[in-house]
Amino acid sequence: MLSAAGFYLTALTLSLASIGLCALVNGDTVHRRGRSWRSLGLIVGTLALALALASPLDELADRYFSAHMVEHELFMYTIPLAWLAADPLPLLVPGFRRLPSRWRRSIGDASVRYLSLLHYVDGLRRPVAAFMLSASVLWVWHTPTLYDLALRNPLAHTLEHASFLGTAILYWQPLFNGKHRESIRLRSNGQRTLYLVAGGMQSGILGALIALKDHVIYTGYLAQHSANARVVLADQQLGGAIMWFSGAAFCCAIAALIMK
Amino acid sequence: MDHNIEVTRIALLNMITGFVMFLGMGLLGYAMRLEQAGFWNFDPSTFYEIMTLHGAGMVTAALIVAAGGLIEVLNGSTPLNTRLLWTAYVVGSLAFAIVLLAVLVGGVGAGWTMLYPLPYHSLGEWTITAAVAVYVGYFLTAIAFLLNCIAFLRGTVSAAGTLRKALAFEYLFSFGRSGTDRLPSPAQLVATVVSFDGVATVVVGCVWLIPRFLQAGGLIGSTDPLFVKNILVLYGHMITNLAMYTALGVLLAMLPIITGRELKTSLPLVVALNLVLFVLFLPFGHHLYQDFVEPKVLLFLGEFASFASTVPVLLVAILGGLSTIYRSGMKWSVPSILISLGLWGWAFGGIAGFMDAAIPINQVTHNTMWVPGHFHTYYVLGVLAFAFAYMYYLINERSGQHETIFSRIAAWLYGIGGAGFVIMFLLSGALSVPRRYAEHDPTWRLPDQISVAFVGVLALALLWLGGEIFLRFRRAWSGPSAMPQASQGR
Repeated sequence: MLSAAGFYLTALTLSLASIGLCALVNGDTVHRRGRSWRSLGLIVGTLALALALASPLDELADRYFSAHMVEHELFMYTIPLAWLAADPLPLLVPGFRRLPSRWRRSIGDASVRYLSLLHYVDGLRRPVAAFMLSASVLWVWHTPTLYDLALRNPLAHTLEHASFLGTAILYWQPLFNGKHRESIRLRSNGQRTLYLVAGGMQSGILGALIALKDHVIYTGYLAQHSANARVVLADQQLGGAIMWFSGAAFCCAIAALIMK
Repeated sequence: MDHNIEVTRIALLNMITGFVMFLGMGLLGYAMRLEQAGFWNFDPSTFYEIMTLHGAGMVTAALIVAAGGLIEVLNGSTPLNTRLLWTAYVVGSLAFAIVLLAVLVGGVGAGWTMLYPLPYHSLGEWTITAAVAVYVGYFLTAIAFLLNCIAFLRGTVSAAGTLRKALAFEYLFSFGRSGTDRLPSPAQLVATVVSFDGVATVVVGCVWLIPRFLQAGGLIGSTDPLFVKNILVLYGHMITNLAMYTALGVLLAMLPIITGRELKTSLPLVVALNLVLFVLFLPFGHHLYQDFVEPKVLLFLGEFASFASTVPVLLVAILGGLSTIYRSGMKWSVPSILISLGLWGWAFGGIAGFMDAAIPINQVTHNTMWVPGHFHTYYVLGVLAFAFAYMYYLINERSGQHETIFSRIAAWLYGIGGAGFVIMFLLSGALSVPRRYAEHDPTWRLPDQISVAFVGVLALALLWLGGEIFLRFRRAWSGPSAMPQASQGR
C-alpha cells in the first residue's frame, strides 16, 4: 500500500510526466528536433523520481544498503541528468499560456523572486564549487554516523536525498551548455574531461572504500537482518560496487554524449 | 585537411597521462627490484599487489602514450573524430582508477594474467568484489582502446575512400605496379592495421572477460581452465603487441624528422604491415610450451608464427629505420637519441624473444627472468623510447623551447640505465633465476643489486626529461593551432 505522501508524490510525478508527454505531442515553442529528446528527458526524470520515492525500491532501501545505493544513483545521475537534458521550462510554456491571466501573473512574480534568490547562490554554480559541494555532500552523508541517522530519522533521510539531488543538479549543470551563463559553463573538451574524470573518481573512491571493507560499517542494517553480519556485509559490498561502477559508467556515457 | 588543435590537445593529454603512469608504475617496479635485491623488505602479498599493478599499468601506459603519439601523427592528414577520442580518454582514466583502487585498497595480487584458480579463489587474500573490479577496469580499458581504434579506422578509411585502399591492397596485390597514386602514408597504414587488429583484440578480450563476470555473478559454473588460459594469453599477447605496432607508427613519423629524409610507403612496408594483420593472432602459442596437454599443433604454430612475427619488425622498423638514418647526416638530439636507442632495443629484445620462441630454449628459460628481460627491452627501449621521443619533440616544437646538453646527457642516461636494467634481467634468466618470485635467494641477488643501480640511472634521466616536459607542457597546450607540415612527420 502507498502511504499518503507516496500517493501525492506519485500523482505529482505522473503529472510532470504527462506534461512531458503532452509537450512531446503538441509542443509548439521548442525546436522540433530537440523537442522529443527533451520531453523524453522529462518523462525519464520524473519516472525515476517515482521509482526512487514511491515504489517498492524505497521500502527495500530501508532494509538493504544496495537498494539504497540504487536509490542514491537515481538522485545523483538519472534524475538530474534527465531533467537537465529536458530543460523543462520551455516545455511548460504552452500549458502556461492557457492558464488564467491572474495565475500567470502570480507565477511570473514568484519566478522573478526565485531568479533574484539565485543571485545569492551564484558562486555555487561555478564548476569547482559545484564539484566540491557535490563531493562533500556525498562523502559527509556516507560517514557511518550520519548515514545511520538518515536510516533512523525520516527528516534526515529526506534531507539526505534532497541534498544529493540539489548538488547533483549543480554538478551536472556546467556540462550542459544550453543558455547557461558563461561563468558556470565548461568551455572546452579538456575542461569537461577533467571535470568528468574528477567526478567519476571521487564517487568511485568512496564506492571502492565501502565495497572493499571487510567489516560492516553501516551498523544500522544489522537490526534489519537479526544481526546477521555476513548478509549485511555482502549487501554492503554489493552497494559499494554499485556506487563504484555506476558512477564511472554514467561519466563515460555522458562523455560520449557531450564531447564535441 | 587542416591541422586540428583539438586533436593535438587530446594527443598531448594522452601522452602526458601515459608518461605520468609510466613514472608511477616505474617506481613500483623499482620497489620490486629493491625487494628482490634484498635492499627493502616487504611481505610477499604486497609484492604481488605491486606486480599486478605494475604489469597492468605499464601495458596501459604504453598503449596510451603510443596512441597519443599516433593521434598527433595522423592529425592534419586524417579526419579524427574528437568525440570518440575524448570519450576514450575519460573511459581509460576511470578504468585505470578502478584497477588502482582494486589493487591498492582491495589487495588484489593475482598478477595481471589471473589464471585459474585466481582471481576468485584467493584463500582470503582479497574479496570477489575486488577481483571483479580489476576485470571491470580491464574491460573499460579495452573499451577505451576500442574507441581509439574506431576513431583511427574511420579516419583512415575516410581519408583513403575504402578499407581496401586504406590497406593499400591494390598496390600490394599488383606487387607495386598499380595503385601508387592513392597510397596511404606509412602512419595511416599503421593506424589502419592497428585499428583492425585492435577491434579483433577487444572481441577476444570480451570472450575472456564476459564469462568471468557471469561466473562472478553465479550465472554460470566453472569454464575449462585450459580454454580460459589460451584465450587470456591470446588477448594479452595481442594487446601488448598492439602497443608496439602503435609505437611503430610514431617511429615512422619521427624518422623523417630526425633524418630530414622523406619516408614513402613502399612495397616492403605494405607487405610487412599487411602481414601484421594476421601474424598478430598466431604467436601466442609460445606462451603455452610448458602446458603439455595443449595440442601439439598449437605449440608448433606458436613457434613458427613467433619467428614469422619478427619479419615485419625487422623489415619495417630496424632495417627501414637504419637505412633511413644511414648517411643522412642525422644530428644527435633527444628525439634522435631516443629513436636510436629504441631501434637498438627492438633489435636486442627481438633476438632475446627469437631465442625464447624456440621450443628447446624456452623449456629452459620460460619461467626465468629471461622473459621479463625480453619484454622490458621491447617496452622500455622500444615502445616508450619512441613515444617519449615524439612527445619531447612535439612539446618542444609547440612551446618554442630548445633542448640543452643536459637534456641530451639525460637521453643517453635513459639508454644506459635501461640497457643495464634489461641486461641484468637477461643475465638472471641465463642463470635460471625464476621469475615472479617475491623473495630471491641470496645467491641470485648480484644481478638484482646491479640492476638497482641501473634503474637509479634511468630514474635520474627520467627526472630530468620529465621535468623539462612538465615545465613546457602548459605552453605546448596553448601553443600554435597549426604545426608546420614538415614537422608532422608525413
